[in-house]
Amino acid sequence: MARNIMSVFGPNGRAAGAESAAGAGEAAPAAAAPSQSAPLALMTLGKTLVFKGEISADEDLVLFGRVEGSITHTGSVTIALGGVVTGNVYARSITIRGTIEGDVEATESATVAPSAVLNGDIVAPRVSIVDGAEFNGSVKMPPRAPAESKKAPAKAPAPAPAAAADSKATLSEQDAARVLGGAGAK
Amino acid sequence: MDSSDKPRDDGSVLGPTLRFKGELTAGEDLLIEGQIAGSIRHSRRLTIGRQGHVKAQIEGHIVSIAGTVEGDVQAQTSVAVMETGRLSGDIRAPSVSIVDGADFNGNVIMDTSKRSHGRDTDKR
Repeated sequence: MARNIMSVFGPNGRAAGAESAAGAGEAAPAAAAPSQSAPLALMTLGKTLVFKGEISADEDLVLFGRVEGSITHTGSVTIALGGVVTGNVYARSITIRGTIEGDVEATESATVAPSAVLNGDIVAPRVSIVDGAEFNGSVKMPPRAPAESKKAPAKAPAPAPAAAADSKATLSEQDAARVLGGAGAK
Repeated sequence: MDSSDKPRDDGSVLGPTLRFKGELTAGEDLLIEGQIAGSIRHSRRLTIGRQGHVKAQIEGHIVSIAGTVEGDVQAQTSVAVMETGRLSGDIRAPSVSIVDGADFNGNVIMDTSKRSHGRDTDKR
């Protein structure tokens, strides 16, 4: 019975979008404990861990330790209080309670909690910065075209980066235009 | 909400989708199920899980290998290669165990002078 309730709560928490990171964060100690046999939906990187290099992962991630390098992620990333990232973070949704020296790019949402220190830019369609947070940088919200964009989500968010990832032909054209434009301006 | 900000003392798990290239240092029990390339320096119990794939120099205290390791393993206390473990590289540790069924290619260098010290500390 208790397990059923848990399993219902799990997916709900994750599906809740911006709130998901907070929900997943709360579940961290319980979810990571069963460890070896259970499939790992959530990963906790402890406070003594120091990564120097590039990390990529798909499982939801809670970072208490330090990362010097970039994080490339397809799920939700939480930089917990005490967690430090020196480098860029790319993920679906990002919650910051610790410190980031670098840019943050989320395809869904970015949340900067009151305890957070962020020195870098944010690119995300949904951004929330809570009162008390320390933030120095710019916020860029890629246009979210309304109802129609949901039918073709690949095209809608993040024009430049998404296009770059999608097709090399577009990239080279855009790059060429950018380079020419930049040269012309100067 | 704050409960997520309490660090756990029982160690970290690097899940199967995690890929990391570079230097990793840690001072807590660690289970690696993902893919690591580079080097690992560790001060406690390090386990390479069955799904773990490590291409790295490993320095640890107690290292147990149930997954795949390509690289040298150095431990201050012991190294164990489990039945499912695959290790190509050298082992340097005061105490080494290789379980029947394990796949191991490399040298074993045991520093027995450290061993007695290690056992004494274990008995404490």
